[in-house]
Amino acid sequence: MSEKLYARLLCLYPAEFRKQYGEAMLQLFRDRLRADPSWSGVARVWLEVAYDLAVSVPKQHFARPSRARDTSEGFWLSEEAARKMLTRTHLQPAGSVLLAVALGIGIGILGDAPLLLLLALFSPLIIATMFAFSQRGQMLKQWLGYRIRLDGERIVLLRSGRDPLTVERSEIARLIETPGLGLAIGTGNPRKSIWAPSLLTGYDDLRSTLAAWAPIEMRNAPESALVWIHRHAGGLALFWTWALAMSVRSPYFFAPLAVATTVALALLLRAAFEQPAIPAMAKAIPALLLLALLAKAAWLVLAR
Amino acid sequence: MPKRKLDPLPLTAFHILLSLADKERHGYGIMQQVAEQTGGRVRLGPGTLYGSIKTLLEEGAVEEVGERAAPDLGDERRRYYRITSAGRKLAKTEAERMADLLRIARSKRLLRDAHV
Repeated sequence: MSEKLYARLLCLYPAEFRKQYGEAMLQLFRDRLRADPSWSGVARVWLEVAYDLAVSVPKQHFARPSRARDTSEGFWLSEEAARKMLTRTHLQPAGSVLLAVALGIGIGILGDAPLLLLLALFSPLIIATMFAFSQRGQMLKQWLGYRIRLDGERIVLLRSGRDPLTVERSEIARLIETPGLGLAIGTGNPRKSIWAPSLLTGYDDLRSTLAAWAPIEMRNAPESALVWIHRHAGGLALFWTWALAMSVRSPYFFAPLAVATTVALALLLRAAFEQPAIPAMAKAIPALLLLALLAKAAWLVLAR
Repeated sequence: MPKRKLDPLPLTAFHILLSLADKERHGYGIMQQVAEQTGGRVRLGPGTLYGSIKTLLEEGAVEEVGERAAPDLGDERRRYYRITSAGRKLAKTEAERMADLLRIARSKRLLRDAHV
């Protein structure tokens, strides 16, 4: 009964505040009652809650609007959030690539591959990763300057050093949310899409507004950085694995690399032949790589 | 940028930041920790607690780290909060300010040996 009464009293708070914290406040009230369910305990809780209501209800009603609802400022990333975005979009993928490079070089050395060949093979990846790391200060500034504003029926994306990008409500074709990552606002034109990271201050407010404009589709759980790399750079990863297999001289290291690469190439070939639209030249590349692997395997067997 | 809501840092907000300084906590956990660290003198009601949490979230001093069940409080899922590096800086600045005041109070013999 106390709980029902308190739930009713929560209506005294502003709707916005109640929507965000009503459930949590009721939970806290429930926990307080459970801690001391005696008559004196309940009385003490109600006395404290009465005082709390008297103080906090007017405070919430007269509170300055949150920055997320102040449309002249928009939705932005705090420094903490900007650093998380930097980690997620640059440092983690770069770190994963470095790990793969270290693994590849290690396997190559253990497999008796020529060191110069290994360095030549992996140096583009090392250079690209070092470049990504060197740009982290610049990338952090870009995330700190990343801001989304709602101007009536339009969304404006503001980024440091770039022209604002405006999307009208009527142009929105799709809203796709990836839980934990953010919301993609698509118009059908890839150059006119906006990404709203979930770490934006006031993200929930932005999401509520956009949900009223168009239905939000939910995407599956976010991928790890390694899965993302595989999805976006699977072809390159396959090439590098093939190159590593061709570099190593030890049959004990060649064998597992060759098996993995052969399976991947065979699957790629099968998929390529099932697509008549793919030109013959494109189909020939995996076939040639496979032939090269088989030739090396034959050479290693004969050399023994 | 408009004036920040945590300048000066309200006492409730400071207590909440102190309670989160060593680990993530849910709302009831914060309330209990604040009561413990003040010897029962400060008991945060739901409205006061979540009003302060709302401000701390807006100012980037704390962040929500998702919902999960508390091991000692049953199966109900609770929202957990964590202090950010900005929150830590804020709490540190306030603690240093209080330490300066304590030094002055001691030098003027307002406090004897009761407060170390």
